[in-house]
Amino acid sequence: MKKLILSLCFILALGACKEENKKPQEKPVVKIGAILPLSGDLAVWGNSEKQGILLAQENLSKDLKNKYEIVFEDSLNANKNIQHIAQKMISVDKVDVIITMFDPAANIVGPMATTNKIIHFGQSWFPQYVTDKYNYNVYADIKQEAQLIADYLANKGIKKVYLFTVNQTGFIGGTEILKSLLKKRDIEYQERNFNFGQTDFRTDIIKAKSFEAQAYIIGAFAPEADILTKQLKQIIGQDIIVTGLDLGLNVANRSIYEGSVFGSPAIPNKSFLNAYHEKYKDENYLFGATVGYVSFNAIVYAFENIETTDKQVAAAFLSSQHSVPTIYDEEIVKDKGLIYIPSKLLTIDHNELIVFEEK
Amino acid sequence: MFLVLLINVLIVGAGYGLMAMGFALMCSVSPFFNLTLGSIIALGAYGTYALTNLAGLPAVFAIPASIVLCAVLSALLERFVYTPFRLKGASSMVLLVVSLGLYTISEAFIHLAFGPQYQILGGVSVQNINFASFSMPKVQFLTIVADFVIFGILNGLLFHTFFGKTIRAVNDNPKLADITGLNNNKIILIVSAIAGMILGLSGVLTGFDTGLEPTMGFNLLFKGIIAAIIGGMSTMKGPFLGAFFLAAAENIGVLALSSEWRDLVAFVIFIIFLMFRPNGIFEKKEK
Repeated sequence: MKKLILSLCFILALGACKEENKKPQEKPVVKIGAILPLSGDLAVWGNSEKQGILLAQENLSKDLKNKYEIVFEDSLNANKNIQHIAQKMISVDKVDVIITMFDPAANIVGPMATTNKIIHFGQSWFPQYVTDKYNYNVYADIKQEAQLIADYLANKGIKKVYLFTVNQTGFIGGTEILKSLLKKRDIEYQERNFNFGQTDFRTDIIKAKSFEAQAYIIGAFAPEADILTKQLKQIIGQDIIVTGLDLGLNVANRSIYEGSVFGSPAIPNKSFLNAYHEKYKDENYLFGATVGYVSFNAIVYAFENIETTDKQVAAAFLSSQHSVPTIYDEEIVKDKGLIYIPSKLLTIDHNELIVFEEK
Repeated sequence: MFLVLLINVLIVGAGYGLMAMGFALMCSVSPFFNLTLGSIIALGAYGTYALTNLAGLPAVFAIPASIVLCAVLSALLERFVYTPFRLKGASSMVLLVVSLGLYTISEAFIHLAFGPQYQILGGVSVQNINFASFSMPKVQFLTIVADFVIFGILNGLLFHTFFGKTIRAVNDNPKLADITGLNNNKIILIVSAIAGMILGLSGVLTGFDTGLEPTMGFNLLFKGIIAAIIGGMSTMKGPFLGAFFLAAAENIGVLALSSEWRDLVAFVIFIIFLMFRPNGIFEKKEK
């Protein structure tokens, strides 16, 4: 009886092994968590980045050695939520990488990434969190954008400008840089700040008009930037000079900005634009999508170039690189943990977003 | 500068006024903070967007269709949501929570259907009307006209018609109105449809002027509520003039300080009124 039971067990075990051998070999999984503002005032940016990540995932080659899974969570752009979600992603979802968007999120998750030894890709103009091999920041260089605008205004012979800036850490910091550059070029300025969600700028414009500015600089994204530009043109005139910090790729209605010039992240290459347009039938709010696409591909690039799926090895590999895969006509430079999307002076000509020098 | 500021107060106040009058009218028969009125405002704007920008209908058909849709939705909400709750004796707090839930659902629905991004309604907003030394976008001029016309109509309806008397009767004492044979539910239903039309129209005009986004309804309604409370809701004069008062205070605040303090000015005035004159500027004297 004992022999019979042992033989049966042996046969069953053999069968199980055979069954196991029949299964195709599963690829190792790299899990990526994306904490983005998917609802609320910043939802448009969060969804744009989500679209970029999904497009990048869809475009992955079938021959890769790892499988890349994504978990999306809505941050509502609230500090408390971001911390809880990141903690849940680390301890429950066991993610290898976290992607965040904008300043509060990046600077909250950064130290958590260091403590838990996972990779973090954030998006911030002032990335204090980039201090080690675990943290990376994907953004255009705000100093370069501000420089482009200041030079453009100086070359046009502008002597007086008015700045409208939304109350957001990044934009306020960016405007400060721009102001110091304007001062160096002897350009006089006055400024006004406003809040997210504002739709009536008319009284601010009356005040600005009394300053007799020759150009107006907007530090905001759509919709506030679109509404402000529309009202500026209604009240002061269609021919005024409107320029914007980081705005080019982030307008919702190009016709409002006809002739405006922006210091902006560069336009991605045709292959990205075509794929994006084909999938989402949309060309607005492109910047979030490009950052999502670049971040995701940089992660894939790191994990595909190492022998394991060990986060620490991937982090070490990433930190040793000087550039990451690009969707631009030029290289995306990486300086320590800072991954720089190229900056360009862009303009809108006949409803088309183009590089200013090409006009 | 003074003239331009005055015109700005007129434009902003007219926009607030439409929302304040819609809210006050609704409150006259259904006295609670009905946040789904924010959904109606958004429906007016997004309905027009769907019919013009997506379905390709001309604005002249799309706008009335959206406004009618708002009236229907407002009446349906009243008939199938709030009336059953009211008949069960639900308190204003319960109704507020229900309306908050419905508002959240409607915002999520807009988000899903149209996306989170800012959209624009074209056409009317880009055409200007020229006066002696200044010009104004047609849509802003229409907002001012609509505000004054609707104020006139509502005033006439409430104080010079039998139906207006029945509305005021339901407002003063719903139980007594019921005993005297008035059909309270029918009156509330009709009033909610009229309020829906006014709010829908304000949504359409705002959509043409400053664009659309899923959260627009709540933000706009909130200013309408503040204006209605400042002015007082016992007559239509209260919300109508309260809106201009709020707009003037906000714009003077913006001129003196900066527009980042606009909401602060509005809320300080709101709290002062709640503390010292809770029934508004045009307080009805108790008999």
